[in-house]
Amino acid sequence: MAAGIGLGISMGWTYAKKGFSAVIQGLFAILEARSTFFENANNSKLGVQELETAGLLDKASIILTPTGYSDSVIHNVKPSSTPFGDMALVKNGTCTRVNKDGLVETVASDVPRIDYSKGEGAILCETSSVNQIRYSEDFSNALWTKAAISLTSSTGTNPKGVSQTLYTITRQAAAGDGLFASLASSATGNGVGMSLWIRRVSGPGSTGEVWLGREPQTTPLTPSEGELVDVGSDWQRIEYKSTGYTGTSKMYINPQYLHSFQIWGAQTEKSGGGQPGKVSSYIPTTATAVTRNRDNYANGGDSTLIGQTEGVFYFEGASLTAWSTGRAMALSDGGAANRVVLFFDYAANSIRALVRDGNNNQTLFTDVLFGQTNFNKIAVKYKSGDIALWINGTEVATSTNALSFTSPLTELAFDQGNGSVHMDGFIKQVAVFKEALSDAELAALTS
Amino acid sequence: MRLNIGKYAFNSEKQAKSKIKALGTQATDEGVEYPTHPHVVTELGIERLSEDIYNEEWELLHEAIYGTDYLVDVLWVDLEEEEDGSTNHPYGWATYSVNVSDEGIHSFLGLKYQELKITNN
Repeated sequence: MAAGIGLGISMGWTYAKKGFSAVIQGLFAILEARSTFFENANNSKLGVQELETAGLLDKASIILTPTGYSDSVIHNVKPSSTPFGDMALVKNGTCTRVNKDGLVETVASDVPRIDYSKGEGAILCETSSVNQIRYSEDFSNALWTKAAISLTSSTGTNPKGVSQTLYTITRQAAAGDGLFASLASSATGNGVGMSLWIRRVSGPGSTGEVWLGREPQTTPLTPSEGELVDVGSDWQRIEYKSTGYTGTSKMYINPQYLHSFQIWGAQTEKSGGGQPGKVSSYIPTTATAVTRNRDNYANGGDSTLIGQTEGVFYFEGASLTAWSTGRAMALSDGGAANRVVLFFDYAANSIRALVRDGNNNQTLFTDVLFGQTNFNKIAVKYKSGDIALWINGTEVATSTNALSFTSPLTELAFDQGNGSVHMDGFIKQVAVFKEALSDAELAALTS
Repeated sequence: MRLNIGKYAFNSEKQAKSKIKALGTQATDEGVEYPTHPHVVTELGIERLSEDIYNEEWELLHEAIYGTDYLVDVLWVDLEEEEDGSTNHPYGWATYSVNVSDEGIHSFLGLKYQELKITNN
């Protein structure tokens, strides 16, 4: 499926013109003052304004939005005084994001990422992934085979907004599989996700088709082996994701005859365990395959900010993929014994809530989302005898199980509470409440 | 935080996965295993030693040649430091470590193997 990023992002100015309350302006002023980096403020204020409208702003003990951050830390909007309960970030090595201008940008080690590739700002928290394609920006390299393809180069502006030697491919009227490259090592029974930045530079009509796949383009098409994507004159990132196990060892790019395309940033990622493919943030390569390391967000919260006998844990976010290993965020005692966890489930398009106390009492809910990769609003209410899961305005599961934590909940983290099963997705808002909200409040919160 | 990079060539995929599992795993209620250690393990698999060779009509003449070892790169996080300040491979890994003169066929984004490699082989 094509994933056009465009080069302009809607910033929600329409609502911003109506103005925000002095309380919200004050909270964000404090946030800005203690942040090295500050962006996406109006959209984040809109999210907080929804809490205010629902009468929940005062009740929230923690509110996190994709707005203010510094080296090694993402800052909470609320609380606005110590303890701030900010989450620390450990991320070994550089990575990339799509910034507010729609441009690919390199981000330094341990710096949080506000990413706009889904059209609006969100905290991007990813697990590690490997780009198996070498020379992701240099298609003149001999590792890229040009079969019935002419390749020319010129200086132009790449998807980073930087002037660079760019390569243009044109299909020749001859037999051949197009432009292709081998993965650095053998396939080991994985799904694959492939992606490529591309724009059409000449040809009849306004668009041209390009095949992106794990096998050569065939006639008739074999959809399971690739995607045939319509490409226009603006840079866009096109994608192909296998639906399950593949034994592929190559990435194929085949442009429509009579059309010419500039290409940049080829990427092929393997998924584990025979799962379908996923496409994550861009990982540049030269002579080697390259691993982007995981974002480790942890050590947020504080025992004074988290309800110890009752509360609500809420987030609005989207998973990077609908099929993957579990992806979690948690309020916990720093381990696995006492915790409140929200998972994107292993099962496709499911959400899971887990409440576990140190007495081995466990309450587990699973329900089906509209789609894990869409932004969803999810909340779990926890109180002894009154536990519930809410998704997008609807109470989907309840329990009357007893609950008694044996050690204080002290930490907010984007993992399952014990430093494993990390989040892999986009987060627009996290909120923590120290009381079990009413059904009306939960409906408003998640609508 | 102390980081080290190790490159390993195991005799088989099964042997590699056994070593990786021994670093620490747990299972969900459904039996799905996940790592509990902080290290980043990249299973590269069998190295491609050469490329496919085609004739002028782009018909395949010779398929690529693959190696026999199962390659794994690891970004080690906070390995125990020896008294002399050096770092060793975790128990059972040193036998399979390899030392390459450049970055090899794989690297970790923003990190240099030559600067972070374990020198106590």
